[in-house]
Parts: sequence; structure tokens; C-alpha cells
Amino acid sequence: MKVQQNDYDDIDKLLFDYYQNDNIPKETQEIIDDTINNKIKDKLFYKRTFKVVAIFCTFFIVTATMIFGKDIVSLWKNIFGLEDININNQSVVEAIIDKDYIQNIEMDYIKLNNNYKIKVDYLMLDDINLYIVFNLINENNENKNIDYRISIEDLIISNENNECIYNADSALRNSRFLSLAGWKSVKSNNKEIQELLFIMTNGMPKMKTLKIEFSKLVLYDKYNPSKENIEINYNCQFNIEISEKFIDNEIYEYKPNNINTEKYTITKCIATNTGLYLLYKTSDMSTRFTINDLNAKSSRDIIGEDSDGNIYFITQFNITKDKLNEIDTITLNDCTKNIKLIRNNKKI
Amino acid sequence: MNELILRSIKGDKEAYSELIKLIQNDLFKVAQARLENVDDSNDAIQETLVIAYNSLKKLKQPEFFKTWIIKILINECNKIYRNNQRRINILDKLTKKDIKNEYEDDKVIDIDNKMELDNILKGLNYNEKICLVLFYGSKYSLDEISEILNVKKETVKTRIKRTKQKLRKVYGERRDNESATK
Repeated sequence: MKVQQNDYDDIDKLLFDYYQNDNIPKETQEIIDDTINNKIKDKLFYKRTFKVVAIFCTFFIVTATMIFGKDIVSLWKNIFGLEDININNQSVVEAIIDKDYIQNIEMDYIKLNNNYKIKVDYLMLDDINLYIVFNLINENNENKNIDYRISIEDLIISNENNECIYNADSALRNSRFLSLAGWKSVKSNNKEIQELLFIMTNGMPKMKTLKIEFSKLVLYDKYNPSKENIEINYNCQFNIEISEKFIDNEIYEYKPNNINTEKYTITKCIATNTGLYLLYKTSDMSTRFTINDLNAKSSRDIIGEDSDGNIYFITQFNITKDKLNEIDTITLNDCTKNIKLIRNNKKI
Repeated sequence: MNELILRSIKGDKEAYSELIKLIQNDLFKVAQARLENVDDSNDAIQETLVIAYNSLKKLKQPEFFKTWIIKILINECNKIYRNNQRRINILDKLTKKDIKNEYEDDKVIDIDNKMELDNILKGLNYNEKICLVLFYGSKYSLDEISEILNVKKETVKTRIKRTKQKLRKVYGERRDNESATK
């Protein structure tokens, strides 16, 4: 005991008794067990096989790299993985890696001024997500040792119907749907800056063409954002034709078979090529959902707030549409009861 | 416990599993002190278990394993906390509760009721909460808490003392009221 005997009083007793609760939630226990059983590699076993596996992997990667010219898997993870910023989009990254669910954009660089030129490298689109990777090149030979980030101050992205998908001014974003958007730095050296713009919505409009326009771009020091900005003013506008693989994809929609409670309302549940997305609104922050079967893992993100103060959430499960071909019913759990989600067989 | 630690360092996953079972309650309490949301606490604990297992060889003094892993956990909790703060504008509207206001208004509260004590303790700031959890929950000494939180021992002592005074103020009024009614 670390308290001196003569200092021990009734408040100490109160607090010692209070913190003696030895129970952790069942779900926490399951997470701990799962982490130790499945996420931690038994080092004794791996020590014995590590050299062989390492040699094999090295040989395979070198051979693959020589044949294919690039390490695709780590490239995609580096570009599209959002776990560093606490968004679990693992099933999206897996779709990109396993199903080639990505569009390489073939376009020439657009020259912004004597030093800088820009293009879009990649695009990924489904009913919930839009990912766009921008690439900015500095043709200047001056070699500053600064890591830069891009801020496209007045970026507007819209579709062929002039529906606004993204507006850098968040107040002017599309009121037809809610969205969560952010930027991730992929490369940030003085010569080349590559950044991913990711957008999650509660319903991406259908589209075949993306229109991208901006007139002001700022480069700022990644580690000292308040100093040494480079401002580039150029009226830039270009279109991207969206790949067929992203257009008119069938999705599976699931509906709950019982009435939503006062605590929350499930607004949508759809399975796409990149995951199963459960959209709901609630004013109770403790609301959360799990799926016990199908080896489902989930993450939860806020996508917006409506004028009544309801917060809209997306919970993303790592279950893609192809895993649900034979499954008409999904059992959801809201920590108090099960909810059956029945597939709507109407083609969407 | 030392034996489990030494076996874990050698890569024995079963020993690591038993070791974690001994301290999992402490891990959860510490995570909850920073991240009230259970999901976030679970994420932090999960990351901590993986990082700790992979870094066991860096642990120079096995007898300090518990302190060491708690420090890793606090770092992971702080990362998640900072990321969550980006959405603070929306979260603030929902997480502002009247609990703090009740407490600061010095209403007489039935402390023996655990729910009421829950509410009071939730109203404390993080620095106060983590000291209570480590001192009363995990039974670390003031020196150990000072090492974990990287603050002076006197600071830890002051935080605990100040929090006790807050509780004393409410609890003392209750006892006086009870005596007056007899």
C-alpha cells in the first residue's frame, strides 16, 4: 500500500473501493483474446522459419519487381491506407489490391507556372467513397530540404450534371448529401508532392465524368505550416472520364425487418465492391453496431450533422458484395438486441 | 509475474497471454480515463498489446514491465484522443453534459451511490482522472506514477490531494446534513 497509514481516510477508502471493480466488458475481453490469438505472431515459431520465408519473399518481390516494375501492394497501401488517421478503410484498400478496383488516370500534366505542374494519378469511386490522388511536380532544380503539403484553396469537384461532389469551402458543400472529406499526404518532398483526397458520403450521385476546377493552390511546410508558403494562382479546369468499372455497379441493399428505436434510425445498409456500409443517425454517441458472423470487423466515422442536430454515422464493415452473394439476411447487434437486415432483391 | 515476463521476452505467446490477463483490468481503467468511448479504449488496448509484444526485447528491466506497457497505452490513447479532437465541433454538442455543472454547483450528492460517484469522477479532467486510476486502481506509488506520466512527483501528489479535497467538500456536506437531521 502506497498511502501512509496516518494519511488514510474515508475518501481514500471510497476511491480504493470504487476502483476495485475487476470486470472489463465482454467485448474488451474478446478484443484482447483475439489480438493475442490472431494478431500477434508466435515468435518462437517464426524464428525457426523466418530466414526461409524472408529469402523466399525477397526472391519473389525482386522477381516480381523485375517483371512487373513495381511493388503494387505496398504502393496501394501507402497511398490509400487511412489507418494512420484513425479511419479503418482496410476493405477499400483490399478491393484496390485484390480486385484492381482503381483507375489509373491517363492525362498529361497541367503546367501551373514555370516551376509547377499538376495531374491526377488515380481515382476510386463507389456508392459511398470517392478517392482522388493528386500529383504536383516541381521542375525547379533548387533543392530545398522542406516537406511540403498541398492546400487547394478553392477546389470544386462536380459531375456532368453539375452536382457538387466536393467544395473546399465546406459551407458550400452539397446539401443533398452529407460527407466527410480529408486529405492524406502520400509523398511530400520538394520535387514531388502526392496527396489523396478521400470523400465518404451517405450517397454518392451517379456520374460518368468528374469536373475538377481550382484557381489557387498553396504549398506549406508540413512541419511548420505557418511559415514559407508558396502560392500558385492559375485557373485550372479539367475533366476526368470515369472508368466503366465504377459505373452502374449493382449494390446489395439490406433493410431492417423491425422498427428503428428512439435511440437511432438506420437510414441505409449497402454492400458495394469495397465493403458493407451501415448508415444511421442518432443523438446517442454510445450507439454502435456489430455483426457477429461473417468475420466482420468494423470502423465508425461521423459523416455529418443535419439541421436538427442529428449526427449521421457510417459504420464500415470489411465485407464486400462478393462475399454476400448467397446471403439474404445479416444479423446486426446494437449491444442490446439483434436486428435482422433483409436483402432487398430489387436491383439497384 | 517476472517469470511470465522473461518467457514472453523469449517469444512465448502463451506466457504473454497469461501476463496480459493479470493486468488487463488496469489497462482498461487507464484507457477509459482518457477515452470514455469503449470502442476507442479497445482500439488503444489492441494497438498496445501488439506494440508491446513486438518491442519486448527493448525492455531492459523486466521488473518494470507494467509501468512500461502503461506508458505505451497512454501514448496510444493520446493518439486516438488527438484524432478525435478533429471532430470536436460536432462531438461537443453531444458530450457537454450537466454532470460537471452539477458538481461545480456543490449540490449534495449521495456519494455512496456508485452511479453518483461515477458521474463525479467523469467530470474530472484527464490529469486528475489518470492519477486516481493509477494510484487507487493500479496501486502504483507516487514515484511510479511520476515516471509513467513524466511529471514531477510533487505534481502527482498535488493532483491527488486536490481531487480528494473536491470529493471531501461534497462528502463532508452530506455527512453534516445527515447529522443535522438526526
